[in-house]
Amino acid sequence: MIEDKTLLAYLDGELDKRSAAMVEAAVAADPELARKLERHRRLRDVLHASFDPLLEQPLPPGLAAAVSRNKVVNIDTFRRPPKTGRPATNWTQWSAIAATLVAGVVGGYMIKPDAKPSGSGPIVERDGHIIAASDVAQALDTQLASAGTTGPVRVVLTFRNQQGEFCRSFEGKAASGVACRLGRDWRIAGFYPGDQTQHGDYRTAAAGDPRIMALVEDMIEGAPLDSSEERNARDSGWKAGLSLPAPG
Amino acid sequence: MLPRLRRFAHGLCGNATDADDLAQLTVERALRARLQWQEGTRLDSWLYRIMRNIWIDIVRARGRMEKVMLPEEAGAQTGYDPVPEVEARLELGNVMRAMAQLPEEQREAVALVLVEGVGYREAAEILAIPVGTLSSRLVRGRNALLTLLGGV
Repeated sequence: MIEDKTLLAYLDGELDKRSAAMVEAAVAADPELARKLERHRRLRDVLHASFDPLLEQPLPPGLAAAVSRNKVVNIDTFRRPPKTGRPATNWTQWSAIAATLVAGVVGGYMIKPDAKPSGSGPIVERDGHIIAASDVAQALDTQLASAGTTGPVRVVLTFRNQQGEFCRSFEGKAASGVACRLGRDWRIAGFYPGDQTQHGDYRTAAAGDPRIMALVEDMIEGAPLDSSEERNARDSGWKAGLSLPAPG
Repeated sequence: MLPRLRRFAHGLCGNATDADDLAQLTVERALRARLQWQEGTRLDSWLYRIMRNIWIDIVRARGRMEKVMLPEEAGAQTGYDPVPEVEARLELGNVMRAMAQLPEEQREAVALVLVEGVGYREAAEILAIPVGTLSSRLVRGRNALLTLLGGV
C-alpha cells in the first residue's frame, strides 16, 4: 500500500532510488494508483503552464522601480567604513544582494558566493568583489568602443575614474553597466538589467542608457579616451599606471 | 530572481494586483534588511521567507485567517466553478483563484514545492515546519486542488 505522501514524494523526485523503485513497482501493478499518479502529474503540469509565463513577462513598473531605487551597485560612491566600524563585508553583502536581484532580472543568473568566476553569468562575485565574466568580460577586454562593434555586449565609453583606473561602460540586451579595471579583473561599479522587452540583437542605434550616463558622470575624471588612447590602453593590457592624466 | 519572487507571490495571492504589491514590498524589505542576510546561505530561500512572512502578516491583518482556514470540504463547495475547457482551466486567473481557496498553510507549501520547484527540505526550512508536516500539507493541498480544478 503506497500512501499519498510517498506517491507525491516520488513525483517530486524526493525519494531515494530504493523507495522510488518500490513506488514504480506498485504503480505498475495497480491501475488505480497509476491513474492517481497521472492526475497529480497533470496538476503539476497545469500549475507550471499557468505560473511559468510570469517569468517571461516584463516586470510591472512599481516592482522595477523598487529595485532601481536601490539597486545601483555603485561601489565607488560608497564611503568606505572606518576600519573600526562595521566590517566591510556588509557592503559586499549588500552589493551581492542587489546585484543578484538585478542579475535575476537579467536572465536567472545567480551570483554564487565563493564561486569561481565561471559559468555563463555576466557577473560573478570573487573575494567580495563583483566582477565581469563571460561575454561581458571579453568585450571589456578586447572591444574598442570607437570600433562601433555590434553584438550581445557593446562597449560604449572608455574613461578614467578619479583613482586613475580605466573604466568602461557597456550596454547589452542582458545587462548594462560600468566596470573598472583592477588587476586582471573588471570590477563592476554599477549594473542594470537590459531591456527585457527587446528581442533579437541589441539595437545598435540606442542613444545610451541615461542611468549609465549618470553613473559615468559621477565617476569620470577628465574626458573620455579618444580612439587612439583607447587602443593604446587596450594593447597595453589596461594597466592604469600608463599615461596618467596630469593632476588637477 | 525577481521573476521567481513574483511567481511565488502569484502563487500566494489570489489576484495579480496583490501579488505585484507583495513582490514590491518584499524587495523593499529585503533591501532594507540586507545586512541580515548571511553570506553563504541561500539568497533565494531568504527572499522567499521574507515574502512569505509579509504575506502572512497581510493575511492576518485583514482578518482573513479564520475565514480561509475552513475545512477542505467547505472550501471545495464555496462556489468555485470549474470551467470545462482545458484552456480556461489553464488560465492563470483560474488557477490562482483555485489556489486562493486553499488554506494558507497548504497554499504556501504548494506554491513553494510545485510552482517554485523548491525541495522538501528547503521548503520546510523556509516555512519553519518539519518535513513530515510539509509533506502532509502537500498531500491535502494537491488533492484539494484536483477537486477545485475539476480533476484537471
